[in-house]
Amino acid sequence: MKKLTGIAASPGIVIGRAYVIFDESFRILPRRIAEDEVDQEIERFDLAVSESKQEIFLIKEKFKERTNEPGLAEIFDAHVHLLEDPLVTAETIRRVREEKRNVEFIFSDNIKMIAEKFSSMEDEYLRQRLHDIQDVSRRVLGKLLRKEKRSLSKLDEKVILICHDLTPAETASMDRENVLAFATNIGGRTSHAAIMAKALEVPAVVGLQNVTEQVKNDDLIILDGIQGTLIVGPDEQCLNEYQIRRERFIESERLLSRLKDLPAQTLDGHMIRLAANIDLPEEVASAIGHGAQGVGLFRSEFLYLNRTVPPSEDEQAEAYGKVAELMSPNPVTIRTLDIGGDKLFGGSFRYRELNPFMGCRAIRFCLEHPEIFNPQLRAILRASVRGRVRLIFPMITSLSEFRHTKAILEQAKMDLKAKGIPFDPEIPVGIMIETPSAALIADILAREADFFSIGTNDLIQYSLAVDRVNERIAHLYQPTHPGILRMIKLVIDAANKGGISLSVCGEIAADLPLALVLVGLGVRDLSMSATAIPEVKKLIRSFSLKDLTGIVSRLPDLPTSEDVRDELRQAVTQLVPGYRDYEIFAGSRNENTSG
Amino acid sequence: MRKPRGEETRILKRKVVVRNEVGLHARPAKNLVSELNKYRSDVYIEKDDGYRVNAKSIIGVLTLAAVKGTELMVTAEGADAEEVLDVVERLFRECLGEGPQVS
Repeated sequence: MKKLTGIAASPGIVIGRAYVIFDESFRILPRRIAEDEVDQEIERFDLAVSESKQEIFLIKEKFKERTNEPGLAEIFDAHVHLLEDPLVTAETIRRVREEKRNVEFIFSDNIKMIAEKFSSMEDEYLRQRLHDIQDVSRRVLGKLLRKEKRSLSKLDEKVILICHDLTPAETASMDRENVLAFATNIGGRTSHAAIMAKALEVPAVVGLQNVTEQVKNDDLIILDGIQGTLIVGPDEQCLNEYQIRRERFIESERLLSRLKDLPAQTLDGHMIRLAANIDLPEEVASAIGHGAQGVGLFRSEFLYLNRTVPPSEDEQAEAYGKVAELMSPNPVTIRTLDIGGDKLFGGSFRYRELNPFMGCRAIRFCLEHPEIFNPQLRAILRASVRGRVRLIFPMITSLSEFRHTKAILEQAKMDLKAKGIPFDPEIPVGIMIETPSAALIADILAREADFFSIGTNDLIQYSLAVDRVNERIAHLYQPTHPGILRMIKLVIDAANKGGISLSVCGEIAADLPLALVLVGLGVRDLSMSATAIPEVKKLIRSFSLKDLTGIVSRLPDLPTSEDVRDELRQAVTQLVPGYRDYEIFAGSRNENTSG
Repeated sequence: MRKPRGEETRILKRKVVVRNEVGLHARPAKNLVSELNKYRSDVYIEKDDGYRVNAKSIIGVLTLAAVKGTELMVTAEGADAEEVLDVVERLFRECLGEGPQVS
């Protein structure tokens, strides 16, 4: 049994047999052609190109039927454009005439030359385009060689697909009856295949690096698209555990339809607002589908990743505005860029930092780069007229920093006003409480902020001085540490006293026992990944706030993290006999998101 | 492309400089290519290392990997060569529709 860890791309748990696809490279040999064969050769090429275009068009139409996210269909338009590019088509024809060799060879040689130029360019965005070019050329070559391109639309049995990568076209045309899930070597949470998988609701794990070498055809595997893991040859105990997890997931999806329109209300009538964390506008549909009452955290950085040019103000305004509109009348909280410069635009802001987590990231980076920050602020402001938009700044550590940032926001408002562009002048402005210093002065910050959101992932990491990605110390990452509970309590009290609203948007909001702790401590707004909402809602609906408060108020005074867990477990199993240990204490979740 | 008889074919060259902050990247390249495709002349862009691409090809223009400050020689061949070069010059001057981000 071995466990591979990748990136969770699309949720779901699937147990099944592997079907491994190796990238068969077309073996193409050069062949001389006679003068009178040239026209025929070119005709063959024209036909292959037009058939390919037709196919791409059909895939696009089919895709549009299956999902209601028209934006993604544009990828296929881009593919058609590539087939019209003179370097791809006209150049091939020119060389066939000139060199008098078979068109397969010329065409693939041509693509190879383009690929070489692109791959030497060290640019994430261009590498993606290279991927598109290769996808399209494989299709054309398949036609020329009268060989069908590997087809995922007709499989004989239900399988978990294992391959190096899936192109958007392949993902879209996948046989959903028989492809239970897929796993790939490369790709990230926001690669096209991942976004499509999510839209089509096919569980997927990507970025497993060498899964095609680790798995053989017909291996029994477990794919966990929630945690981003793949288990090859599981033993009986592991299988049982995942059977349970799988049922739990299916149950929660089933609950979804029943719970969607029910309020997250405690037995004694207290309402808790459950919102979704999202990365991309495409995720709003899933958020609404899971009953989210708003977007508690829109992580804007995903608009900036995998590209070398910042998204324009217009593009951002459209993305934010679309989310606001779709979510309306529920609120959408947009977090300004929360990232270090090293991750942006192919490393254009390359500087080495010994300790990036304590370095120039998030608001610090934005304040240093007005050419990036100002357009984002204007874009968010412009979106504010299309729904209920709230603005939140990450990594604020002091009041002066917050004041400085607000002054820049005021300037952005004046710019828009001067141009006569409408925006909501009263847009609520909040602070992410994610550093110990911010938590400790929360009472002071509450006087000038409209709301708080506790980013527990960072708050825990900075408070406990634990990098949770470091395996050797990951066990020290303890959300139930009494110090963390006290810190959170401090912020809640400060927000209540200051009369401002507060939400929690880290992953602990979706960790079932911890969600209860948060509610018991006084949190009324939780934001989490959309798929976690039904379960949390179900749990909240089975408690009375009075009982919860009783249990939870004791916790910050317990001596150790283990004591907190034990006490919680005991209380919860006592209060809700229907819940068993494995349901709420399935161990800490290993989410790949950041809050 | 075969030109109608009687039309004068001209080959003209002009030098331009990339002014875009981020270089000749996706959006500026797309703007350039879609504008040039409105004209009849063949247009080529050459870097000072001799690397030359078809300026009507987005792939070609992207592979130039021209950063800010790069000098490029543009060649236009065709009846509307002069007009095309004027357009190219203007586009580069205006940062190919990606005017400097005023902030």
